[in-house]
Amino acid sequence: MNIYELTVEELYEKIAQKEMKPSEVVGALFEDIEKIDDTLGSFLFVNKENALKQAEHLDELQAQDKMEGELFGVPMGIKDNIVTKDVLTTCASRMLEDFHPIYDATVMEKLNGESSVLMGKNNMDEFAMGGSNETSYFKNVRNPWDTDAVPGGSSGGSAAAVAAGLVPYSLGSDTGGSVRQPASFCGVVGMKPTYGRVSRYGLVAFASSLDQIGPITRNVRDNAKILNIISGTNHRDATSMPDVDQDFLEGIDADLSGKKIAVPEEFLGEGIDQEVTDAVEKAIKTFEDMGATVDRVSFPHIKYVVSAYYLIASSEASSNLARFDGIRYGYRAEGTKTLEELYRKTRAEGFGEEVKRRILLGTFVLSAGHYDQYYIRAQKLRSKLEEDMLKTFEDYDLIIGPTTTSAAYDIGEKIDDKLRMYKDDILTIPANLTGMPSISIPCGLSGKKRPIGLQIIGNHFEESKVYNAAYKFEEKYNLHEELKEVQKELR
Amino acid sequence: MHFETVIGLEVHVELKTESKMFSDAPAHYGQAPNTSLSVVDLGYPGTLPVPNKEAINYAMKAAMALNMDIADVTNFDRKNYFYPDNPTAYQISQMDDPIGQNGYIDIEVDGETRRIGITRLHLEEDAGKSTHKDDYSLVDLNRQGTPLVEIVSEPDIRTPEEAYKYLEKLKAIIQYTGVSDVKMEEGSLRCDANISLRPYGQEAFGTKAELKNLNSFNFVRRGLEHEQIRQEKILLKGGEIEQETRRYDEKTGETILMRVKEGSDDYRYFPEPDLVGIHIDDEWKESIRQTIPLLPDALKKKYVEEYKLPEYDAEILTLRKETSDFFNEMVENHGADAKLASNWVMGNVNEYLNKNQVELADVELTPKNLTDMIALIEDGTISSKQAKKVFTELVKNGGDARKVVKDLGMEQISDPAVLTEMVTEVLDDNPQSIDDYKNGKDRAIGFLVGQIMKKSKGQANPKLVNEILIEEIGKR
Amino acid sequence: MSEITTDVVKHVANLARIDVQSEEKAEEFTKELDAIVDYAKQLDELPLSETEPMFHALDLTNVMREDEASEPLSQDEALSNSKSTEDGQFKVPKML
Repeated sequence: MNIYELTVEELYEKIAQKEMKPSEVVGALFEDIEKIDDTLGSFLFVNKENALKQAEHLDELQAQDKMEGELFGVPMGIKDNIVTKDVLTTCASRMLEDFHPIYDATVMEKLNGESSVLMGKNNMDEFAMGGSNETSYFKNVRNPWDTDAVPGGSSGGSAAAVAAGLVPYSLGSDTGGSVRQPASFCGVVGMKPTYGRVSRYGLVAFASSLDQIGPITRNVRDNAKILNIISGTNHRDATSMPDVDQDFLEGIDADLSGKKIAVPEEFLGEGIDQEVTDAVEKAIKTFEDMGATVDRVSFPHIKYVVSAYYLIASSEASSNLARFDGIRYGYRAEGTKTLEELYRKTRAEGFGEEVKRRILLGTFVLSAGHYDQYYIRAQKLRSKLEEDMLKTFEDYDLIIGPTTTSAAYDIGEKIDDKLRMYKDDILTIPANLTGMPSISIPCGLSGKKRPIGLQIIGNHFEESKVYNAAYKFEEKYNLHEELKEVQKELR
Repeated sequence: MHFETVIGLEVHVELKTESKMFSDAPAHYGQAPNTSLSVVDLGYPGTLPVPNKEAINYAMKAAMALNMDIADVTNFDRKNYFYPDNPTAYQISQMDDPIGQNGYIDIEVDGETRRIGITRLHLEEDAGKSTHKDDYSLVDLNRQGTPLVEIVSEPDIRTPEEAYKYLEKLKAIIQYTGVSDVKMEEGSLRCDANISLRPYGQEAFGTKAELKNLNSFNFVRRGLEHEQIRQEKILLKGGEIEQETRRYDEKTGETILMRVKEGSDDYRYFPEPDLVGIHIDDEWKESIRQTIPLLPDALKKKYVEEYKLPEYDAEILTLRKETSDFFNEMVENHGADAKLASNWVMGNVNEYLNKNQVELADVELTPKNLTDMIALIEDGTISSKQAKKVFTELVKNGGDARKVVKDLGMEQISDPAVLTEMVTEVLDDNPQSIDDYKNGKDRAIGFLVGQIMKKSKGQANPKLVNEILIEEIGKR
Repeated sequence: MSEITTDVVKHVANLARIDVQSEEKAEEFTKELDAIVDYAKQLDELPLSETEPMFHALDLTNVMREDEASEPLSQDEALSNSKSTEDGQFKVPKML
């Protein structure tokens, strides 16, 4: 048995039963990170010293039978846009190259409270802007299934690290698909919860009205377990939903017979690779075999969501990222003589091209004379889309479709065509615009043996239904054995 | 003036809450820079704002006191601009849905009442402070996030004097609500003024200038006076007014160009995505309305109608809340005569406070001991002249009025038996004076009274001494 | 073609306080933004005059905190990530 293959639940169990010491688990995974992450690039910072110290302390507690916490001794990776007190948090940007937060994100307080061990900070697209991890200021991430391929993004480091067995779980953030798309590309499970389910406090904001933190794991149960821990209302976050506590593991294996599932025609039509469509059609068959009814529906507004998303997300980002001015924290251009020069040079040198592009787009959209035409229209489209989807949920339990238009592509293949890359997000964006929960789980492999993801979307706060369907599907189809082969090969 | 002056005022008032508008850092702070901050105030990445309910209550209270319509739904927006004292590079403010709209206050100018409209009152967060050195600036963010309301008047003000009266009244009203200290010298009340001229009878407004750095109500008045003359001169010469921001210079009394406005600043307002809407139902509104005390106008009316005070007295007494509170307590709790109390409060008390640049809270005088002192004058225990000394003592060191009078050795001797004894002794010692008086020399009385006062060490009640003296002489 | 020109890009970059660094860069941004904004014009074909904008993804109102103050950060903590401070304050180059 290899430690790197073990899931969250298995690790927790083995440590609880004293079959393993936390320091053994942590030590073994650091060895793996040292061995293979030079190739993968999934970590920006390895928290080895702190983690080993913490693990030794946990060893003592284990020996004294004082184990407390639902994740006692279980290692974790965290996307580098979630602030970790005193631990370097860069957002994969030169702007925050040496930034040491003086507070912990709410999700970190919760996970630390369960005695999980922080192994390091996962690589990502700079400030979560990108879908291939190629905008990271520091380095690319490679897909564990095929190191020529991108891992997806923006939570590419998180998905790659989990797929490669460097951590059993990681947290990502999803603004337009940034948890689900890399999960799909790396053959793992990624959940974007309902907006307001998990507090954003401590998540470096990209687009405040769309951002959600979500778990990336190798199986559905682990995912539900992590979401159980990180969700909940927070008095420091005015957009966290009160009183929605739920146990997502409860009823996760319920029978699917009688469930009604909708498949939007637009999700399987033009612009979707045939092998993706084929894999999803098979998945539909699987659901039908399990007793669910699957109907085709139509979302006429889907074709506008990419426009609406990029207008809204860039607008919010232009304002959210205005605080990086070189004064209180972060990169500061040297030798500037006036305040204006300090601003302009700091921001020109500290941000990468993709970030600047989106700040410029967002600033344009919000500027005088354009606000109504672009920003307001985009927010109206959001209402239209929500109308479509809420109407569907009157008759159906879930909406399914592919997570991405294709399996992972090669590094460098698309990076020069921004608009094409933006359009790739069409399938994941609806859940962000409407705030609905959505998961990606593996449902096939492409001709090049790269994973294909199935997306399951639920109505607001119906993560339980989503997990239930995902878990039942996973019982019929998963890539667990294939993933172990991938992990073995990497080592 | 050859033109009609049009003035609009924008007043910022800091609210007196315990914590900041969107963070739980203390809203009161001492001298040390950057010691009253949370990560939210520093604009740290990942932090989020959560609105202070009390600040919303206070803003609503102020808006109600200014006769405004209170919003059923109020929302926050971001105003984007770069400045070192603005850590997130946006200020959370309110654009489309302010808490209050469409209010007014009445002011008295030359014996007439003028109603000045108030367009809106909205909530926002204050910024930090920058100090400028020769070739760099230093930033202290302590003030960042202090809750602030901005109160924007209609362009209804026609003279610098009206502007002064508007500010005086606005300050008094806010002070009565208790939501702010409204102290201009401490920055808890700040004012910018917009001023333009137009030919009489013309409806369209002229091009306006914005005046800044107006650090007292007097400076507002003087700055506007200067600006109105400056603009008039330009217009009379056939020139055009530029839309510009001007700074009032306290030393010269002039306004100085800061910058010309090129179009409107592009603040890229948009709804604050980190905050959700605030719905204010009738119950909430009513609960706040209940907490509003009698405001200056209502109090003034009460003084005139119930206490029969002259309009002038009522006006002065209601300019500041601490004054009317003091006066009310004298009359209502300690039974002081309203007119006498008013005379003292408006007279000696105000004179002392102004002369020494202190406030009622800083002195030891209390409504009780001032009332007692007035009673001692009325019953003849002390003279008006002595009262001045007693008053000074009460202001400086406080204490019970009667005891102070005793300690100062001032209590008058008014016991007829004691006085008669003294009179008898003095008359026995000065037979010549008795003769002089009887021979028509009235001056002799003065001499005799003087002798008695001397004997009593000045404590004999002069009125009684006179009466007894004449009576006793008559007996001889 | 949309209304994005190099001048617009420069104006917007000025608002965003980002030095565009070179003419080539400005033209590159212009081309890219133009493509995106041009694409986004597809929204113009939708009848949206009767539709309310949806600024939030959740149906939530009146989230507020009680007026209670907590212990503030120390001055050292507040300044800890700054590259330039003096006398307990943040130091910036002169403002013009």
